Amino acid sequence: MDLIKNITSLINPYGTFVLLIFGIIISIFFGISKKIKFKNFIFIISVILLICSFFINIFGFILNKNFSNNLFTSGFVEVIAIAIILFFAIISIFEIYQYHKNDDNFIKIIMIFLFLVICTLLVIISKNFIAFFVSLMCFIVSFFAVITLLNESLSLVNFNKIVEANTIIKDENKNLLKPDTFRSILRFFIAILFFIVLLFFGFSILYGVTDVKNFLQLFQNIEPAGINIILSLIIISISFYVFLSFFPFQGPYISFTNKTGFSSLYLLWLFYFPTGIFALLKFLPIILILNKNEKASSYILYVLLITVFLSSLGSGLGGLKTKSLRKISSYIFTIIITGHFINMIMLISGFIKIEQFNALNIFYLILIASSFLPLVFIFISLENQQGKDSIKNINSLIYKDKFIGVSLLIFIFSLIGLPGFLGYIRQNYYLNFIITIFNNKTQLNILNNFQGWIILIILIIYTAAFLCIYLRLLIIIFTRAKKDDKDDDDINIKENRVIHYEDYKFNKKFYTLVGIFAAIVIILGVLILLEVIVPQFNLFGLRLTNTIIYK
Amino acid sequence: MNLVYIFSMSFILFLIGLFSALFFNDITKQIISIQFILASSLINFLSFSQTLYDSSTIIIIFVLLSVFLIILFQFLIIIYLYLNFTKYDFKIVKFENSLFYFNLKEWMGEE
Repeated sequence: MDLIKNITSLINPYGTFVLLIFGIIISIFFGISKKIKFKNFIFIISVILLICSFFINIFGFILNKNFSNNLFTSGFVEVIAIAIILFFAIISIFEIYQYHKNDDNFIKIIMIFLFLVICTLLVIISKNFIAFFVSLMCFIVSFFAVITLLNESLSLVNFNKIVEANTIIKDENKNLLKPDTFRSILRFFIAILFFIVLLFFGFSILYGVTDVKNFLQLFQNIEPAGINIILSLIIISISFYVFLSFFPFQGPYISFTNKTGFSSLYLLWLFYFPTGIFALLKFLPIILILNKNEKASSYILYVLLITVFLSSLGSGLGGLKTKSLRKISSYIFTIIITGHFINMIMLISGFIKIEQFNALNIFYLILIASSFLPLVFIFISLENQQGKDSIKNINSLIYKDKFIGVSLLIFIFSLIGLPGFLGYIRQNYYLNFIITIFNNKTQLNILNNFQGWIILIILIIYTAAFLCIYLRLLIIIFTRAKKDDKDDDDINIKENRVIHYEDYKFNKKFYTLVGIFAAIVIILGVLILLEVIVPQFNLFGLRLTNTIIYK
Repeated sequence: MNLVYIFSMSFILFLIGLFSALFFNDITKQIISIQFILASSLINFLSFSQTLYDSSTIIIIFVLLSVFLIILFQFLIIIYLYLNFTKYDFKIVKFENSLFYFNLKEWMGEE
C-alpha cells in the first residue's frame, strides 16, 4: 500500500511525462522501419498515450493538488495549460499522420514530436532559471528537428533531384515544391537563435543585479535592485519581441508560414507561440514589482501600449494587403497573441487581479483551439484542394458550400467577439475596462486622463486592425464569382489535373469536425451571453463566466 | 580587476555582435556575430559570480548546460545548411537581405 501511495503522490505532474517517455521508448524500437503497419501502430499508441496523459494530468491534480520543488511548480493554472497543450498535441499528431504517413521518417517524426510535447510541458511548469532555460532550449532544438524532418520533401536537395528527373515540372509545379522552403526555415531559426542568445545575455545582467536563480524569488530579490534591473528587462523584452515576431520583426515568421508544409503550420501556431507566451509570463513578477513604483509603472504601461499599437498596425495592414490565406492566418494569429499584452495592461492598471489575468490567458488558448484552429482547417483544406494558396479560394464560399461557409462565418464572428459567440468574453472585458477608465478611474492605477485616452485609442486600433481583416474575409466569402473573370491565374495544375474553383469536395469527417467546433463555439457563446444578460442564470448550478473568468 | 571595466568590455562585445547580426546578410557572419553576444554573456556570468557572489556552483551548472544547448542548436543549423548546399545554388549561404530587413515589402510579407 505504501508503494501505491508513493506512486500516486508522484502522478502530479510526473505521470504525464512518464506516459510520453514510454511512447518515445516504444518508437525507438521501430525508428527505422518503413512498414505502414508499424507506422499505424506507433501512431495509435502515441494517440492513446496522449489521451491518457490528458486525463492523468487532471486526475493527478485532483488527487495531489499543488506540487512544488526546487525546479518545477504546478498549480491549477499549469494543469489547465498542460491540458490545452495536450489537446493541441492530439490535433497536431493527427495532422502529421494525415500529411506524412507515407514518409520514411514518420516514426522518427512522432518520436521527436513527443519529446517536443514534453519540453513544452516542462517550460510551463519550470520554476528555476536552470529548468526554464534548459527546457526552452530543448523545446527549440526539438522544434527545429521536427520542422526540418516534416519539410524534408520540400527541401532543395529533393527539389533538385526531381528537377534532374524531369526538367519540365520545374515551372509548372513551383507552387507545390517550393525550393525556398529550406532558406525560410533557416532564416526563421537563425532569428530564434538570435532570441535565445539575447535572452541569455539578459539573464546574465539579471543575475548580476539580483542573484536570482528562481522565478518565485524574483518577488524578494528585485526590490533592492531598483532601477538597475531596467537594462536586463529591456533586453529580455526585446528578445521576446523577436521571438513572438511582432512588427517590425515579422519577416522570418511570415516567410516561414508561406513556404513550409501544412503540419509545420500547426506546430508553429499550437506549440511555438503558446510556449513563447508561457515563457514570457514567467517574468511577470518583475513587472508586478516594478509596477509598485509610479514612474516605472507608467513606463511599463507605455511600453506595453506601444507593443500593442505596433503589432496591431503592422499585422492589420499586412493582413489587408496580402492575397495569401496563410499570411492572413499568420497575421490573425499575431493579433490574437497581442491580446496577452492587453491583458497585461489591464493587470498593471489594476482592472483585473492575477487570477483573472491567468484565466484570461487560458481563455486565449481556448479561443485559439475553438475558433482559430477550425478556421485554419478550412483554409488549409481549400489550399490542399486547389493546389494554390490564394484568397480566391474562399471567393463566394457561402454559395458553393453552405455548411463550410456558415461555419467559417461562425468562427470569424467568434474571433471578432460578437455577442452570442465564444470570443465575446474578450470584447466584454475591453468594454468594461474602457467604461471603468472613464467612470471609476479612482479604482485603477491610471494616473491621468491622458493615459486613459491613450488606452482607449490603442484598444480601438487593436479592434479595428482585426476587424478590417475579418471584414475583408467576409466580403470575399459573400462576393459572387463572375464566370467571365476566369483567367490563367484561376486555374491551377496539380498532378496533371486541371481544377476549377467550383470543385469543392470535403469528406464527411471534415464536415463532422468543423460542425463540432462550430457547435461548441455557439453553445458556449450563447451560455456566456445569457450569463452576462441575466445575472442569476446558471446551468445545473454552473456559471461559465464564474468558473472560467470571474473568480 | 574592476567589475565596471569588465562589464563595459562585455557590453562593447554585445553591441558589436548585435549590430553585425542585424547588418550582415551572410549566414556564416550572422552566426559568428551571435557568438559575440554569447561570449559577452559568458563574461558577465563568470565575472559576476567571481566578484559579487561566493556560491558560484549553481551558476556554473546553468552556464554549462545553456552554452552546450546553444552551441548544439548552432551546429544543427550549420549541418542543416550544408546538407542542402548543392551545385544548383552557390549563393545559398547568403540571404537576399539581412536577418530583419526593415522594409515595407518585407513587413507586408511580399516576396
